[in-house]
Amino acid sequence: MATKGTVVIDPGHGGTANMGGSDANHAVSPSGVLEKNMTLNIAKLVEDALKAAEPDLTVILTRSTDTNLTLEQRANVARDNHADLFLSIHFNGFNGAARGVEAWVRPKAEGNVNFDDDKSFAERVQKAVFAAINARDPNTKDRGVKEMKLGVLTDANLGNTAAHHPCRACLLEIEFIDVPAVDQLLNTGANATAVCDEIAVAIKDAILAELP
Amino acid sequence: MSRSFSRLTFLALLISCFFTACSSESRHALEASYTPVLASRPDASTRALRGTLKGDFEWAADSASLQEAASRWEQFLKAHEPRYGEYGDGFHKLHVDGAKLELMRVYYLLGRINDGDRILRQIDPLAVNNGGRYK
Repeated sequence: MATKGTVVIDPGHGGTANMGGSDANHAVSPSGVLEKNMTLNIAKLVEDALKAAEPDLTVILTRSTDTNLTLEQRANVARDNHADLFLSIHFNGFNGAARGVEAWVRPKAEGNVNFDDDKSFAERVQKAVFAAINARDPNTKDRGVKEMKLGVLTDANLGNTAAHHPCRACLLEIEFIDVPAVDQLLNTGANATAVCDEIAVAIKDAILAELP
Repeated sequence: MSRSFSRLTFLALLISCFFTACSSESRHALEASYTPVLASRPDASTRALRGTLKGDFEWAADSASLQEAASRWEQFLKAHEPRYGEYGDGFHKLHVDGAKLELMRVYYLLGRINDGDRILRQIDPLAVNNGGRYK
């Protein structure tokens, strides 16, 4: 019986059909790597790193194959397993030039009963991942923690109420994969595997530091 | 009598010239070529499918004229702006906000000041319309 807590990692997107607010895929790298596959790869690396570092921690992925779930279903995995932390992993893309690491939390004004704790968790994860990428590529940008009404971070779906809100949650956008330099860094370069490992270790360290 | 008739004729001519100039300026604006500022024109080899968030964004960014750009960005927002304000992820919000900024600029270039101002108030980059809360 695990006693150190429960962490739910949510690899964004998946499958081929859009499901309840979750599109099958968003960003695509210049070499053709899909965001949905990159999120799953990083999530599995984080899972392995967490299990190796803390065997008494329960780590659950919302998906471990190429399937899509609705945003509500993803959050419900945290609710049903009484998770302490929920991290949704994504990669970004825009105009082939924008760069940076950012994290998102649900605004207090949108009924986030866990706003301060969510923001603290998001800042820790975002800073850790930014530092890991910046060590390899100083052209990355620190885009900080922002607020947005995100379906996957809805308190009711995560199992949080005003009276009892055990699950801290945020969404991480690791980098803009439509930028050729980022594609090389994370997918096609000689050190791509090592860089992804370093990002996973950074997320693992942030998660462990967040737990009691 | 003849002097006031001349004045009236002159005034009518002046007004007519003004409207002719305005309408030719509007036609000119409608037909003016469009170059996106924040979005980039899609590369034909990596173009995303229409119907997807990325594909529809690229389609709008690839508009030939300001008139076409206004229509396509409006269609993009109709299809992809979240109905209840619930975004899927940062990529989703970035593209919706990017589309609003491109459309706002197009409206101003077309002389549609009120439409441009409506989007400016909605985006509220200085956070002055919502009590200044952190965005």
